[in-house]
Amino acid sequence: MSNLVNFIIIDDDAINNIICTYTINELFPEADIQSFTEPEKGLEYIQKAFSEREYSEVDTILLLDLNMPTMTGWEVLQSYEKLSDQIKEQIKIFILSSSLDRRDKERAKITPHVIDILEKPLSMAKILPSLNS
Amino acid sequence: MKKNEIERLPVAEHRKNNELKFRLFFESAPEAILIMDADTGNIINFNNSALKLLKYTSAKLFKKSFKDISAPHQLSGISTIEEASELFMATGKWQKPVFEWLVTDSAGTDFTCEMRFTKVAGMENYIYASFSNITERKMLEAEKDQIIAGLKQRNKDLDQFANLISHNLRGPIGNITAAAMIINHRTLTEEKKIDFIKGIERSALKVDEVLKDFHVIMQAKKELESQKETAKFSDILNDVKASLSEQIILAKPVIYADFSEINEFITIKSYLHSVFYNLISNSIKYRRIGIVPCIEIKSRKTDHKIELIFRDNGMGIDLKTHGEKVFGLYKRFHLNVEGKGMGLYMVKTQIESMGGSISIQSEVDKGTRFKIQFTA
Repeated sequence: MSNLVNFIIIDDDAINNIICTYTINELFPEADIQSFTEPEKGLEYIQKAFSEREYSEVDTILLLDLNMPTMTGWEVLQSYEKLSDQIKEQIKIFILSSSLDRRDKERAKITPHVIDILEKPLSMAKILPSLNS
Repeated sequence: MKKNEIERLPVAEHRKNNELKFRLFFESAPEAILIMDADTGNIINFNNSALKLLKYTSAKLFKKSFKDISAPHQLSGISTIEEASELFMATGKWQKPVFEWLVTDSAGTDFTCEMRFTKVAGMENYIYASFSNITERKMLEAEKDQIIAGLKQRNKDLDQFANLISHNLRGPIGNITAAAMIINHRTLTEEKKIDFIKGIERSALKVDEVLKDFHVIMQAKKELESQKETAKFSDILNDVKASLSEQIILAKPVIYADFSEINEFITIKSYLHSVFYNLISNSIKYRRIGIVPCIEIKSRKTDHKIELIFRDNGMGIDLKTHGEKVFGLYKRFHLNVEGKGMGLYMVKTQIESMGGSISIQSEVDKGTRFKIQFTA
């Protein structure tokens, strides 16, 4: 299953992204991991890379931070919502934040395409059950 | 017989004496007292305090009823007739109502009184009303309520601020913990190890930075009464221009200032300096490439307010998407310009500490206008 999952990380904290990449690689050494410290660039990548791609068996997990200077995670999700269904069908979203408050948890529950909201550090055990294979 | 008469005489005298004492007390009591007919509300007797408070002559007050010395409608909005009849009925049933009542004096001026009704055994046809003007107390209470509301808001702001700071500390501290655990428990190449150690270093610096910001912000949240002094807008502008000289030489902005309406203001000078500094350096930083940056600063004086207007022809901010966050801590609106998202937060915090307010108007690729208001 090692190459059947890819990752996109959107978090303004570059060090977190290095740690996440390491944690993912321990389990999926061949996973394609794209990390972005600027959410705008992450969204741009998603739009470009996935509109050309046909639906595939490969899962893509988006790890999304909430508290970022130019765009919050919730704003990223609002823009994401406007993307085509074909793109959205290919991506599973996990919110990954350094501290969670109750309101964020409630909001995550009712936000489409968000599978779960997790507290840092990233734990792969919380993500594995949602993978297809 | 004789003996009896001798004994009785002092008793009658004693009673008369007592009555006189009570009468004197009634007449000079600090509270206004009315005695009214329990059925009609007509005023039958009153003391000096009542005359003084209601501004009537004795002869005129005798012709008045409870309705005449009350405003037509009470504070609750209910008509006086309706509310008074309930109070009279309750007193008739031996209750002793204590209530706030809008009283009107002979000149037609309304004021709030605290009033008590009582009935006395053996004198069931009368109602005793005692009351005093509590308008001043009510005003103080309203003032107190306003202060409490302000404190509550401040408390809420501080709470939010504490949450934000703790969140911003948890991020880098989480990184340090995770990176240290990886180095400790995993076999890493030398190169990878150095990556994580660098990560720890950068995260530790980040913690230090957040704590320093925290200190600066807490400092700006204090209202330093003693440090108020006369600040001249033109002097402050010159100081700020001097400290921004490098950026000014590079960007060559046209800075136009007009402080002809008012050039002085008693305030916390260092805060005002910081406001000028942040707003002007923002205007330079977020200038539009290809045009001459213009910055216009103007002071205005209205009846109760002093206004400062800062206007530029820079990049502007999209307020439709960023509206509420413009003054937020660690918020940024331009991807390709460096900044840590503290300038406008500090501006707002310091203006509020000076007792003022700030608002923004902005349009992308047109410019930005800040309006600062202080009560004069």
